[in-house]
Amino acid sequence: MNARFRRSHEPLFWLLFGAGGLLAALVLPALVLFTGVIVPVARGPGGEGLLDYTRVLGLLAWPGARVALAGSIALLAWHAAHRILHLCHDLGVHAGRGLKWSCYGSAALVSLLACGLVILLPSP
Amino acid sequence: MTPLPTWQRGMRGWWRRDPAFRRYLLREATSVAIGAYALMLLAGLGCLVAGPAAWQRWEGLILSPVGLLLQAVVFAAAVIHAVSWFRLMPLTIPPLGRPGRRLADGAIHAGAWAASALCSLGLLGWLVYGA
Repeated sequence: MNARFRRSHEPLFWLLFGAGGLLAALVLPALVLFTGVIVPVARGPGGEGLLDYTRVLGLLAWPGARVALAGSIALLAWHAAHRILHLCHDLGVHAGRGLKWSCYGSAALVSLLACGLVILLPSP
Repeated sequence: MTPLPTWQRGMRGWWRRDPAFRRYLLREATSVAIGAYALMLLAGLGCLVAGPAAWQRWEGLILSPVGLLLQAVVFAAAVIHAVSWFRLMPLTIPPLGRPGRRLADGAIHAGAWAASALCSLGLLGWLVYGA
């Protein structure tokens, strides 16, 4: 096939970038507010908190929550990878094959790890 | 025939030319913080699998002064990201509404922020009161 008419990979990466961006716009401020403000403020007198090991495992006992967690980590990674790649280009770093492979490769690795780890999670 | 001499505009320090360029860079740079937060969550997931001791170390790390400072940066980045993402939404989504009668930008913004509020409250409710 003529190289001029080869289909671009860009739509796939743009889709992942867009999905991650929408997810971040919808819930990321609330999530960071939780881990960075609510958790330290709501810590009980005995040191018990919202992020206690058994409590978090309990929250993640529902399979839907595990899928959502792994999916969120993966989409945020793809969003960041795509934007960092273009940011490098804007700042004068040539966005060649090597940089593309490192950006999207890192996102793919993060996705794989998130999926694998979520499967390995112990039940409470 | 030799090609005509052309002059190429230098791109060095282009962001210094216009405040809009710097706002653009700020918006794009939020991705670095978002990526870092994704790695923080991935590390937490790994520690959760590794066991209670590892999990406690991770929790101590994100609740340390440095961890909280970094999360403050991520929070600012997340808010800047959300504001710019929703502001650009009328341009990035397919046209909504009947042909010739495009949905007003204000309606799209209002809908996006309502959806964000709903999702955020749902998530926080589950994280605080769930289980």
